[in-house]
Amino acid sequence: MRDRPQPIQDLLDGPVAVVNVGLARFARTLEGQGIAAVQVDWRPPAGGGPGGGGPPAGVGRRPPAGGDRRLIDLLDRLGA
Amino acid sequence: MTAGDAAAAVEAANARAVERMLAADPVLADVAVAGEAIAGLEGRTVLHAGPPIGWPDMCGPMRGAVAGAIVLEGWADDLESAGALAAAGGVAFHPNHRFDAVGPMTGLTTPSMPVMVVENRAFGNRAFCTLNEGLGKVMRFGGNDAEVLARLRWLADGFGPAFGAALREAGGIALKPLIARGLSMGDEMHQRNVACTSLLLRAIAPALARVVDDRAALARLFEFIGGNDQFFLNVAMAMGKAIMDPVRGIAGSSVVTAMSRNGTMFGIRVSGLGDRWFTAPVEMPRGLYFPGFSEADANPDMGDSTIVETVGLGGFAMAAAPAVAGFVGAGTAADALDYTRAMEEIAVARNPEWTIPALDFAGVPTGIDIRKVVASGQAPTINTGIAHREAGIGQVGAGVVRAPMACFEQALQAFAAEMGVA
Amino acid sequence: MSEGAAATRTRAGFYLDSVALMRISREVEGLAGVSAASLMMASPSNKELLRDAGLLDAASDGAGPNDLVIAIRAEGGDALHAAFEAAEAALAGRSGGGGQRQGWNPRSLETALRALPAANLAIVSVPGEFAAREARRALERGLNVMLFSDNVAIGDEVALKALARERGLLMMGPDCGTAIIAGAPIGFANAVPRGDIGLIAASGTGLQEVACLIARAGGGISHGIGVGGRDLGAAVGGAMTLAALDALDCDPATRRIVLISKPPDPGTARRIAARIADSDKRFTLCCIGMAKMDLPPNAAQATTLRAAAEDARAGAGAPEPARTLREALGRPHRKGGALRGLYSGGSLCAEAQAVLTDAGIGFASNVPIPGAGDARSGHSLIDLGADEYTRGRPHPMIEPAVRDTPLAAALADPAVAVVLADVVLGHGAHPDPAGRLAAVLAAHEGEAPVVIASVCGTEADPQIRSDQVAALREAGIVVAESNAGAAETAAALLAG
Repeated sequence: MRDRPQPIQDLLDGPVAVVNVGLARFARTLEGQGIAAVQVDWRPPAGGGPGGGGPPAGVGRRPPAGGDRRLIDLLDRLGA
Repeated sequence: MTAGDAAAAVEAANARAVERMLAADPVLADVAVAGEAIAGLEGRTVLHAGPPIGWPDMCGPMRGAVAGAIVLEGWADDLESAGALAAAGGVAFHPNHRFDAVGPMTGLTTPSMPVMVVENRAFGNRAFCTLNEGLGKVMRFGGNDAEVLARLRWLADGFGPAFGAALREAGGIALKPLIARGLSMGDEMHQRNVACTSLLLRAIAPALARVVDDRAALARLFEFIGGNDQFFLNVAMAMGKAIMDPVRGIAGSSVVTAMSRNGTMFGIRVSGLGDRWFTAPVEMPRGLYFPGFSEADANPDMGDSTIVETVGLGGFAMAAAPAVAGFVGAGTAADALDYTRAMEEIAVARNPEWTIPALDFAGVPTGIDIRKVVASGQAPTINTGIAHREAGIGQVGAGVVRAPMACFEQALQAFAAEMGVA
Repeated sequence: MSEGAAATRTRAGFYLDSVALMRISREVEGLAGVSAASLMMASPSNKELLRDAGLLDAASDGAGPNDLVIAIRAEGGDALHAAFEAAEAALAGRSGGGGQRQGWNPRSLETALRALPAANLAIVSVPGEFAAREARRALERGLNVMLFSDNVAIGDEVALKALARERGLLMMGPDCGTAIIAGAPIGFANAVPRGDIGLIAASGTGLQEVACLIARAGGGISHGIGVGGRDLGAAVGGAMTLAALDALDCDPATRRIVLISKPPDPGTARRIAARIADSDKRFTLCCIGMAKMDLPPNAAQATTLRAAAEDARAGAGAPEPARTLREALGRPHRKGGALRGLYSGGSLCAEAQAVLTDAGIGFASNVPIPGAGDARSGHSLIDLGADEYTRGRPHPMIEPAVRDTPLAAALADPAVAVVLADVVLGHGAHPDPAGRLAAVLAAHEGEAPVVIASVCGTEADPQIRSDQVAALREAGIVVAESNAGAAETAAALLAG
């Protein structure tokens, strides 16, 4: 027997609580089973193009045009 | 510096930046003559909204306001020769922000104008903003006819001195608690200032009555403040400037210290990058228009009033003002909550004193982090009035606009270079 | 001024906020034949605006600040009337609820963690090029990760798993669709009782089939940990398999451990064997397509998922009941015909290949297991969940209709004698995959090959396994007790 790391221990001891980044069906399925889950409405970082248009129903959401690699690298180095 | 070190340094610097914002103690202290109160504002100098701009690049309303201000100052006899003087380089243009000042829309500040003085008593700095002229045809929307100029003269000779005397008599009016109450009464301090204007009038009325002997003059003062729901906007702006100036120049901080537009370009400043402007063309607001006007009449986004968003009010506090959400989209109260929640994604912290009942008293999102703006693709949302694109017509609507992402992307690149990780 | 009819109506003493009035104005102005519409409180400044716009008439000139003026200009009398009606209706209808709308979702991990500070697992299913970034951010914030995304670079996988080990976290995936943690089915997983058998699996349906066979035999699962298909390859070196082994080894609820994967890299296999030798627990290794492995005494090798489930239940074996083959033989079938296997589960397809290979039958496959494959045999086993089939289309477990066309073609092909298919149930899967299969069969006219299927699921699954089995039987499909059993039955038919 070896020690298992605390974070894994905490997960296996439960209860599982999930942050779901991406496909919303996973979060819905978990919620349907009474498992705590928060859905993140993910968009690519540094999503492209000018701010364009006013904020529509989605409050200033931008189209998920692909992120700018150079900016993403800078963000990674600055811890964002 | 390694990436891990840089990230830790930024977190620490941003924590300091927000600490300073939250420690601020802004007090509306006085009304003074701009040329006397603002150091360096002398000669034929015209201060304007936004990042630096020269006459050739100015939009219609800005040019109209400049011509009107030149006539007001007596540097030219009429609007035509005033325009010629400006075009010939006869006046010096500078951003308000360079002189501790801010102004709504065209934002013109010239030496003879009265300015409200907000003191940040926790840090000892002062900030200035002209008096709100009211609705309709006014200089901040490029109005410059005789009626506009006459009102400005009364503000300088009648209203300003009396209001200043009352403020001094009252020992100043602390603004933080006033804003806190305004938020709970449905103001967001950019498009909606009706509660704060009323609270201010209530607070200052006794002192005004004590310093103004003439009952008719006093009644006119009350009438002017009470007849203008947006009177408090200029107070909120001077307060914003007074809160943000001590946050400038914190090494390693990625917090935005100013957002501003001159009708042509939108500019931002970042704490760790000193007084550099990062600019991009302004966008068109989306919103509702007064009868007879449409988006075709609108001037692009303009004014220093975005200082209000910079401190976490305006578009950031939309959840407090569901009435304002009517200007965009479906306009439901739930929409208003989402605007504020969206801004939380790009903020460093929440303000524990400025809270919003509809969000279970969560504080307004405070300290815009350029990293989070770029990472989330979520630009700051700004509540704004809309000016006619031709000078002299005035306000034609109100709506919402976003800060251009390009400002934040440029700033991020400069910031990464500054941090040695580019 | 513009042409047409203009008129005003005044509502004395009716107050509405200017924003609300501007919204109604815009609505009315949008009506056909209306050129201008303005609803305003008749303050002096507003009246001036109306006058400038040519909308103020004698009737409304006397209105005061507490009166509402409705001013409209339209093409003709009818349009004018309709516009006033619409404005009045909008004024009458202002009260009432704002309506329900969907709740707010955070946009970033940080904000999500503020909403759920107790979170201990992040499921990441964003496009592959961003997946590693999001997974890393989650690990850096102390979250275990299940990375569903595929198309993650192998270098990123190695780096993420190194970071996970450093932080003492599980990094399941990439391309991990199934896990069962502390009784919670995560992703595509079945409802199985908790028990003393721990599973570590490179693949989703492998984990699902073993978990369901154990559950249906009366056992239960402590945890099922996915590690991703490349974990036992040379580059990753079993990083997460070893971490999962460590975790289950010291988990008091786990008494036996089953490891399910493709054949591992030899060096990694040795490390895994050494780690198993270190443990007091009993292990079952199921590396489909793998020749005999060198294993310590506390481990046994299983060649199929069914055998792995049996071994984990301490050898309480349950071979395919004889009635399945009797039933299949009872159907009219073509001697010497070909076999078509149409799978939605990759591991189920691999297991079928192992069974057929064991029976000496060759076949072609888009995902051949080691040592298999014979294009000339005429038989084929296809994984419809493989990349080439799912690009731009849903996975067949989510949308079983993607099997319709190849299935209909197989049914209509006179050279085909036997069709093999899997039906995968559980959370995340289609609500009625058996119904879809049955519908294709029902639509087929004339003679058909024998269709043999198995149902990977439990009675507690949302689709209810017995209902799905009944639907298949009703459609004339032979239903085996397990995926291996279905393949065995097909092999016997081909031989017979």
